[in-house]
Amino acid sequence: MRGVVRRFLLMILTVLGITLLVFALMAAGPGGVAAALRPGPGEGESAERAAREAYLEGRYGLDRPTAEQYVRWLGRLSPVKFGRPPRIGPAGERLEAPRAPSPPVLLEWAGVAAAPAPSSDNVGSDWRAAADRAARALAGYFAARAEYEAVLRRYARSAGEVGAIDASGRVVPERLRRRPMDPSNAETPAVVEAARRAAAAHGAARSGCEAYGRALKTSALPSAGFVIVPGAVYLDRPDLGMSFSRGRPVADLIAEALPITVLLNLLAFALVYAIGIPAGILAAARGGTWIDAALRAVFIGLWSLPIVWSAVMLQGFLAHAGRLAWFPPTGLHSPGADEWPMLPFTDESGAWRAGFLGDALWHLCLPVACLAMGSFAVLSRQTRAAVLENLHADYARTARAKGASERAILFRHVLRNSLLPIITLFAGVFPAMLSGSVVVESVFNIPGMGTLIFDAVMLRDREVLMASVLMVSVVNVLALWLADVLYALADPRVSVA
Amino acid sequence: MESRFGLKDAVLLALVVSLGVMVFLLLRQEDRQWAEMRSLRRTIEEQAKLLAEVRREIAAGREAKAGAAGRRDEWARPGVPITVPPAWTCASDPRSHPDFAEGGVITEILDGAPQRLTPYIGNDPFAHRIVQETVLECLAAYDSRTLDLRGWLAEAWQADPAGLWLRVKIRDEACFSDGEPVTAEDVRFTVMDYVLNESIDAGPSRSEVGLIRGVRVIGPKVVEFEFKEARYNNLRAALRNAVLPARFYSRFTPERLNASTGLVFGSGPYRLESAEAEAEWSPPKDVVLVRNERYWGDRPPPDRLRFTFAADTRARLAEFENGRGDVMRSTPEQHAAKAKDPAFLERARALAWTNMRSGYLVITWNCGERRGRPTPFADARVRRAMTLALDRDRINRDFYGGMCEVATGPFPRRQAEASIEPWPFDMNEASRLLAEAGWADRDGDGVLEDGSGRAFEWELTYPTGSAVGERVGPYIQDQCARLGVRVTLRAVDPAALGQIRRERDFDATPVQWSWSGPEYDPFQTLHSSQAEGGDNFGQWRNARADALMDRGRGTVDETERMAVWRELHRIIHEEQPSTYLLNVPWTRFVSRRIENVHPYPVGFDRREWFVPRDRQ
Repeated sequence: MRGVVRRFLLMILTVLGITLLVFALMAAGPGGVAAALRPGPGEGESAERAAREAYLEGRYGLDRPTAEQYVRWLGRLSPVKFGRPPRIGPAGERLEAPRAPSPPVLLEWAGVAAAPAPSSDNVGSDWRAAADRAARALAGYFAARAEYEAVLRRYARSAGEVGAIDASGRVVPERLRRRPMDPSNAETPAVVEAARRAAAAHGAARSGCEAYGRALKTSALPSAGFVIVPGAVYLDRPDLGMSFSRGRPVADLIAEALPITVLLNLLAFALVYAIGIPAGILAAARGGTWIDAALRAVFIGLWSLPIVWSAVMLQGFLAHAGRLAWFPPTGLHSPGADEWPMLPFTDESGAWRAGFLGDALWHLCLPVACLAMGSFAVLSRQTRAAVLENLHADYARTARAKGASERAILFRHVLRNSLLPIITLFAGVFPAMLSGSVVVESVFNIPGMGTLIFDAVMLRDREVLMASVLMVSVVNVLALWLADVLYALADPRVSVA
Repeated sequence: MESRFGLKDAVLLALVVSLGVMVFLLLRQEDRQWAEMRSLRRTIEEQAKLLAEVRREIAAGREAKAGAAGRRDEWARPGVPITVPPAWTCASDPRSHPDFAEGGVITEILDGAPQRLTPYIGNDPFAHRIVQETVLECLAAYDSRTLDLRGWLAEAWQADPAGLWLRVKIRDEACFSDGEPVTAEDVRFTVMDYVLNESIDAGPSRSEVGLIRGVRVIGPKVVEFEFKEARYNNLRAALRNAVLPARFYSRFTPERLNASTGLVFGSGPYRLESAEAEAEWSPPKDVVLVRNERYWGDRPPPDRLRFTFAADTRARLAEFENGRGDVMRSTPEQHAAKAKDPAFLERARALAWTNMRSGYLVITWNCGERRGRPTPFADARVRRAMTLALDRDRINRDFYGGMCEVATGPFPRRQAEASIEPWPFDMNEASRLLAEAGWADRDGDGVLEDGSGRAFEWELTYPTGSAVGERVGPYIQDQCARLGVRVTLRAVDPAALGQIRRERDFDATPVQWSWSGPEYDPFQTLHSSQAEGGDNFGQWRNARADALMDRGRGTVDETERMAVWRELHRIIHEEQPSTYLLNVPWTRFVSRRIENVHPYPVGFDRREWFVPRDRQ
């Protein structure tokens, strides 16, 4: 038992390590973590683009150091949270005052005083109005900050400050701070003016956010979560964040996509086991005959086909109207299937229809076949080896000596003992299938986890990618752990410790 | 060890069988309720149709009475002329067609799934294509043929000659799909409390609506827009926004709206099957729009519009060819292949035409500095030499199946200077220009060098999978090699390309821009103020062009403005900040199941389409 727990704790560390690695890789990769957040070509003029970008970065906390972003991400994930719990709005949405944004850089250098701390009076009780004011103030600040940074860039350029602008066009404050501001520079008055405006806007934004927080606190809206220490610690569901590219909660996106991928993989899994194990037994029982050779040739052949190639071929030949249109080319349902009953029926024109369930199964045939075909070889070869080994074991010979039939030996004695290694295979086949479903889902246009992950990678959608990596690594690590535990349960000689 | 089928096994088997039977019976029961519900729904739909008929007749009577009473203009400001645009009608009336029939479903296969349909939020292009002019309506629409603005929800308007305000009279009969009238308050709410609300994720829509300073309600059906400055596109900013019902949308907090996926409610001829917040549409389901039986205008022919999604181009074509969709966007390769396939053309139309939503393809030269050093393209002669060295007719023929036209500049035809001819394909002239700019093969290695001995080499930076980069790129390489110029092809990740363009870290990059309206404002892509942080990736700076762009945007008078754009076109043609390759048309496959399909300068007008009875 202690071994099981210890392994479990190790698993958590492994998953954390994976997330840290992915987070760091994304932050370091070209294009940054949020290509999806940047306005695309044609979306507005430079000033408003800069303001919008700053707004989105502030909103998603991307203007903070990477390490802090990771810690915040972990904090959101943790069920134990610190601070005041969010309130629940009229339609069940979570309301939380935004954090005060970080102040503009280089204020002292520009000789501008930071805005004074916000006063705690003028507590409005109307949280809606306070939310509106806070949003306006924040947007105003981000616009002012973007403009201030543009002026700073102009100053740095005209002052010939080498390296004060980094590759992505951002000002490097440390470089500018090395030398005092040059009063003779033509841009200096503009810098001071823009700094003053940004500082004032920052003050307004900070007080707006705080006023919103106070308005929420005094409102009659119920709190989310379960408070442990009032105002300090509470329990709440993990928050996977908002997708940068789709603007929706990541948890919702995963809730839509995961069941589809799980269904696809479970069906493929069942198919692999249903064909792989009997084929392995047959190959072992008829070891060395043409049946063994044929099974090996076919399965190794299927195993060596790249999934993407076989998916495109199956789609092109079995699902295209120009060839054999036996299967639908893409998707999970026929158009209009959502209006069909579950079971087969005849419609108004007297035509037979498969019904919603039958239609879905028909759509899943090709994707499931693609996912499964590579795994037959692994499973059947493993089964064959295990069965052959046991057929030559002492106990099988003893049974034979006692006069048991070959059939009885195979099915009653050998088979049970040969299934042990197949348990561990589960842990290996499952991750392989999950990665295969990325390809299968894109070819067959199935909106599952594979498509979600693929899009997130293409658009550098950090929140979706991190959540998906978390899901996949948890599933894989759990599968490994489960295989270990099952193995120990099935074979008393093995201990998890 | 004996294997016998014992009592335990029998009980187990019985349990499994009965479980199976129970699941089956449950499904049967579910299906019976389903059938019952469908018949109920059909009855309700028929009732709604009947009611709609009655309502229409009453409205027609009321209109005739109002017409008899004469037009009243008391809503208008005195002394300023009123524009009463002709009421919107289909350019090709489906009802005059001999096969005309109401009913049926039209299915469009879109190239991506929208993430949300809620208007303005997230600025989803697919959502826009689905709900605009089907569920949601604007105050005015573009005439399919002339592209002039015609009244839609608006009956008439009055524009300030100085371009600073616009007063609009909304049609009396216009109503939302719940039967409540469209009012001036709804227009004000949409702009001021929704799109310009900082808490709502309507960022990209805000940039155009941002021209509006304020909206005033003058009367229940009269609204006045006030603009920040006189701009030619003020009219469009005010009249081309979908009007949302204030009653419906003001019920939700910004957080709820931002997280919503399918809160769509409008005045258009179609509506979502369920507009209820509790049962909103969510991806990845198909979007089904049903006819709004309470629609105030002409009934559209099909009962339903269905939108399915296939991002993969091959999968999309397979779906279309299997008859699972009626309309799809084709790639240039698909179009070139299918437009010559008689078997395909029997079942479908392959359409390619230039319209106000198509665009142009360019290779943008970095005219400024890259990593602190000017690129060879800082010299206009070099840029022109590049244009002369590329046979754009051949690019059109070999890579686009000849469906494009060679471009001369960024403008659509009605805005362009007609006398400008594309630069010819002339390698000799290109060589001469390069020599004039100081490039010569000084060391005899076949590559040109400048006075300081720097070899003439440049990179074409394109996103992986880009047709221009991967197919036209090698041709450009060959052509340049003939001139003694070395070209490297650099395929980068699409997400990284954004960053590269922002940093201006490229020599040349292909870009496809779309016009997205009858008139194209080149400010974003060519004005020097946009060279830093904006879309002027090539950092082209030209004071005369800047002045013309500023003047053009601020000129409300159309004739005067067109003269400005044409002068600008001449400068762009001489300067070649980009090599304007081709005007790329829209390509669509449309099934022959649908009738009355016409390509227009506006794009398509789906309101005209119908499915003859025998093909429903």
